[in-house]
Amino acid sequence: MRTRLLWIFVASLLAFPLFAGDFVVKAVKGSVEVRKGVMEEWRKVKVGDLLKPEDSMRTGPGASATIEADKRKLTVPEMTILDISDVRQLTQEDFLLKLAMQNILAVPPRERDELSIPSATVIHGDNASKTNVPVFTDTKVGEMELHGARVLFDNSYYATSILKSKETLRTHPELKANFDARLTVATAFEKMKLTKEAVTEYSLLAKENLPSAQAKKVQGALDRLKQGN
Amino acid sequence: MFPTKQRSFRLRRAFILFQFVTVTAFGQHLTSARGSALGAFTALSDDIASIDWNPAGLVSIRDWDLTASSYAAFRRDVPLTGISLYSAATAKRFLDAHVVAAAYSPGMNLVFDVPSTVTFPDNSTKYLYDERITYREMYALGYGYQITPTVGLGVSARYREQLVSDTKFLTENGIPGRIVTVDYAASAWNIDVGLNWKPEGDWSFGAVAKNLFRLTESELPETVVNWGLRNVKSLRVGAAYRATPTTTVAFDFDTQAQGGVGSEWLLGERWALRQGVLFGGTSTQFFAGLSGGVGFSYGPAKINLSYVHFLDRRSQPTVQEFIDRGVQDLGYNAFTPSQITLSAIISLGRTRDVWAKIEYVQILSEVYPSSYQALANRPLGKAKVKNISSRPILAKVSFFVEQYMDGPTETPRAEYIEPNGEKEIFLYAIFNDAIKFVPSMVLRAAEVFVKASPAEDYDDKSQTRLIIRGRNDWDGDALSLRYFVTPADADIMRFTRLVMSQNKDTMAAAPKQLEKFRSARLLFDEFASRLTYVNDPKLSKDRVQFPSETLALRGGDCDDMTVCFSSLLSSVGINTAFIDVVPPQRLDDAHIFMMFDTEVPASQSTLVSDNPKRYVIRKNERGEETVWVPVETTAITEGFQKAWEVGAKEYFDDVEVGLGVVRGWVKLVDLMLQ
Repeated sequence: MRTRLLWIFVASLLAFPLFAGDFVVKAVKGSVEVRKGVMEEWRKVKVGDLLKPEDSMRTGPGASATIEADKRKLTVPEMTILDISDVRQLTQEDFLLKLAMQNILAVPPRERDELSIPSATVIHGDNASKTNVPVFTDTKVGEMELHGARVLFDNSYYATSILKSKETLRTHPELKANFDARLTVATAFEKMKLTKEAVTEYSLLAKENLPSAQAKKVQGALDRLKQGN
Repeated sequence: MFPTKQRSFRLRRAFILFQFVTVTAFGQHLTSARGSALGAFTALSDDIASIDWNPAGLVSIRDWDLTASSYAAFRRDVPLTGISLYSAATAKRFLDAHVVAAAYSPGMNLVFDVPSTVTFPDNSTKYLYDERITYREMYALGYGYQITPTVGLGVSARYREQLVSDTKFLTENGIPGRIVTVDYAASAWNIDVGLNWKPEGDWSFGAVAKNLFRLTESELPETVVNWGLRNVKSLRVGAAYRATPTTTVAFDFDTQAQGGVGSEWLLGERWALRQGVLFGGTSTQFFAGLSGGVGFSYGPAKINLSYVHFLDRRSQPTVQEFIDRGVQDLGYNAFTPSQITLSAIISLGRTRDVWAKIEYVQILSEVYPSSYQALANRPLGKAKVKNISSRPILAKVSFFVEQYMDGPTETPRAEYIEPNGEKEIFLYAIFNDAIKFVPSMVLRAAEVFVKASPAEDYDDKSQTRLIIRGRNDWDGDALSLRYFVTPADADIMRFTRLVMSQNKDTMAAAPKQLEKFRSARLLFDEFASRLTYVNDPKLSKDRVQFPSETLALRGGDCDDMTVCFSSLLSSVGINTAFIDVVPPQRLDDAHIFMMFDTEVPASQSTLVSDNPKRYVIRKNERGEETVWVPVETTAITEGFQKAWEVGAKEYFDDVEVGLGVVRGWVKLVDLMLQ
């Protein structure tokens, strides 16, 4: 009896590596890859693989995957990049702080009396012999990330959906014309009952040259929010 | 020689004329040349002459005062004997509010002679006097106490002596035989009490009770008591008003129905003109006299000259006049002649008003030599300053430590303090280069001074204790760690230039956008190849090596490596920032690493990496978003790639997932390049 209890105890210890926040891959269809933490390369994923919060998942054309953790189930459709760390709920306070983090992370302006570290560089001005290489931004990556933000929204992870969308639009400014993504952000604010932020997003959208259906949707939302105040 | 039988001896005492034998009498409240020129000095007295005029005026003495005076009197029937030293006096302030004074006046000597009318039949002998009455007031003591900044109280004691020499003729069988002189003496201390009040504004007031008390040592006998001094108690009050910044008018009046009115005009900083009118008292007419004078001051020295001219005839009195009027004050009495007075005063030590006082000094932190420059702008401590004057002041404090400062550092702005108000004023310090070489902790005495405008000297000084840490000591604050970064250090410059030179082909091939990124990578790989991780010794305070020391020792802990690598990058123009992590409830796991700005625009971030978790997007001062790369400087065993991986993971875990920045346990400290 004592030996059996000991084995049960040992087995449960072995099961412990499944930390809270870890997802298990339940189903895979097509090309589904994972990028571990801060690594550069993507690796194929299979059913049963463990996905940690620092991992990212990518699905190819026609692919999909289902992941599960703590009774939370999520289906990732094709052409999507999803950060596992985004599959979580944030408190409103943490969300607003993360939203403001852009300003917190910004390099602060130098104060008048502040000591400056002298720069010893001898490179004065531009290196005229050098030229910038053309950079071709992979819009597809940005679009896949926005799909990931949509997945979060559809699964009620509104806060992380907003954060992901905003971050993607910062690094892929060419996607600012993706009004669906921006509408998702505004709607997510509305779902979180952050009316002021939602009005701001809708108002910014209203200034754009939207197709009529979207313009109507935006105006309707604005009227609804203003009436609600 | 005695008269013979053939001659008749006549004694006549009919009309007696007094004469002054010595005219060294000095007016008691004409002792001050300034006072005698003004004619009214009760409210204005502010020097040693206050002993006689109004002892409360002694509180105006700042430190040491020395004075000497002389005078000459003019009478129609008395030849001028010249000017000689009359009095010398000194006064000293102590314990802030107390002043003591002492005067020795050998010239304060009034002598009256009742002439002798005795003649011998052969006219051979005539004696000078029947009675000689001498009054002296050679010694005086004074004490002043500053009750409040505007109210002073004073007491003076004057030692008055009276000597009556009575000449007697002894007769034998009706014939004058011998002449003997019998002396009668009396002495006493006469006490005066004075008060002055100088409220804020242009008014000042004074009052003095003369002869309020008398401590008698001896009295004159009844036979000669008529010749004695009158010790009449009287009260004199005075007021002065500064009509303009250069004009003051004064008024005095006493219970003897005598007084004066005067005015003083200041001509520039050094000269003063004065004039006054004396009235009432024992004069035979309302206006007793006119006065005028001039004063000159230069630094601590003052010279005053005055002339008082009495309008009524000051001729020699008769016996009856003398008995009727008597003498109360040795100087200013019915028989005081017109006179010139010259006085000189020198003030030693502190010669100006003290307006501010330091209540206490508090040092806020120890001094870390590495960040000594910051103390020019960041307060080192504070001093609580009190305004002890009756006017608002502007106060500054200065801080000084011998050996480590070339001179006191003054606060940049003066602080306004209301009368009797207090304010805490921060202390700053500009240290000299000597502080960079403090090998280990030392304790030094530091001095704090306070200066209230418009004073030129300091009002008060206080001493406090200052701890200066060793040059490598660090207070644990990431903000202070910046001051260990030395991009201009010769060893750092040599290192970076050598690396750049050895890899110039690699750098040449790098795209322009990635120059800084490639430079950082090269420098780190070289840095990692030469150094190894070493823990600090177990000390009470954290210790940080300067970059040149880390390169020389070829190792260090996380703060040493971070500081050194930041210096290397800064020396080639790359902006860096410390990432200070202090996990809540796990202070022992505090750690510091860094990140650098690749200056790659956020829209081109894929040039640096496809994985957004490997970099941080930050907006710079110009509002441009660029890519920053975190680096764990202690992960030196496998080169830049590994250090970048570890740094990026740490940042992701602590900041993105753990929300360390927004929750305050992760701090980003930018090193600003000029």
